[in-house]
Amino acid sequence: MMRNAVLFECKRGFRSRGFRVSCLIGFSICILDLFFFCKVFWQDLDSKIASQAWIGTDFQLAFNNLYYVLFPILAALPFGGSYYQDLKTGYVKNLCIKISRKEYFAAKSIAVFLTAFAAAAMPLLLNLILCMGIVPLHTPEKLTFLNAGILDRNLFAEIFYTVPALYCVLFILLDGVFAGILAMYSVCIAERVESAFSAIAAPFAVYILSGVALMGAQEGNWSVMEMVNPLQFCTTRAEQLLICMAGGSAIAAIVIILKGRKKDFL
Amino acid sequence: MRKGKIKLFLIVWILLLWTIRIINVNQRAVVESVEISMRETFGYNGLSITALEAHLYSIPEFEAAMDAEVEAGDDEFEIVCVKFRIKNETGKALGWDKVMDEMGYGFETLTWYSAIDPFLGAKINFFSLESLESGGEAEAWFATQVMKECFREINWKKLDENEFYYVMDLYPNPVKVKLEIMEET
Repeated sequence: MMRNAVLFECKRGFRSRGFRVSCLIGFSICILDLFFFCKVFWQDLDSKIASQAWIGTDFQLAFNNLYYVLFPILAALPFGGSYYQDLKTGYVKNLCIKISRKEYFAAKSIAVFLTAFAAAAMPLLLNLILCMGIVPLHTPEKLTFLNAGILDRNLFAEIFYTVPALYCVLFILLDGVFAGILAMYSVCIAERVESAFSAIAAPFAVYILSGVALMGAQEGNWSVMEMVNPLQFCTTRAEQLLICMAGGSAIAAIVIILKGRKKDFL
Repeated sequence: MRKGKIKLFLIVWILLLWTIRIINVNQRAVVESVEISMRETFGYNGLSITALEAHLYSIPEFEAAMDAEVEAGDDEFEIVCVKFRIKNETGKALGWDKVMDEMGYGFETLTWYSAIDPFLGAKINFFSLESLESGGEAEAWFATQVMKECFREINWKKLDENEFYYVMDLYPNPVKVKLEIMEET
């Protein structure tokens, strides 16, 4: 029964209009980044490498900032507002006749997480695949000062200078996980907001406000906004990353589990 | 069903073509890096160059060894430096600024890099002549600061285990001198 509920919710999520719109925005930003990179550096494209062109580590154009500012919206848009809509339309009552509340929330959380993961990771992955077919995957020459300024104190620094593609893939996975966690906050907050838009915008507000308030410097950083960006303007220590990931998902999971126990739809 | 199969076929076909393109792009543009060892003489822009010795000094060690003062302020750093023997084979005299300009980009390890610090260089290099005469030879130090804030605590403690390189050139092919850091007694 649980398996069916998960499949049903995932199907709803991946076929939703929100998922398509989110993918459209994400893909547009990533393709525009590559287009303008090629346009600007057309004359000396032969001397460029994939880690300069990939949107995650491209510091020369503004699309990296745009993508990582819109990141929580891209994550929550696919299915983040669906729990609010299920509540408002009464659809949740129909579902909870057939499955338990716990199963409903478990299925909803999994679907929200997976759609957010896909919506955030797919554009980055497509951009990387396109970059690899245009410019080579060489290791960056540090003293050209034309690459992301990754140093020893940054996360995955050794990987960036030995296997740059793996660095990109690691950050794509990391971003996907954070996108999933952020989108789950839309489910957490659904009863407290007045519209689906507010539910979708809530992770964005948390992301931006905490991002600015908790932004660190050389000694460490607690801002998720800085953690997800592969350019790593702030130094994030591995333990900070793990604590944020575990803490963020634990808070969302606890709120959703409590809802599953207490909330009565019928 | 038929429509789905056509779609799948097209996607697989595009992926296959793009994979071939990725392989081609990466095979076409292989950049070989040239590695030079210490005490090996090599020619570069009309100069004959030999790396003689390299050190990783703490600030007091540097000041004692070079008889120069370093303004550290609140920053915590060590200094990596290398001494080169430079012979002018261009056939004309070269001003010292020109010689220093020709002498490369800076220092790097796997996860750290820094350009040459000209202010440190000015404190430790003294030349008796106005320029490096044609056929003449001189020894010059090149140095830079290795800032603690660039490193994780654990890696800073074993900084001397890093492999340091001096980057002479980047284009068309990188030319790097592998430094053998001498143990300080």
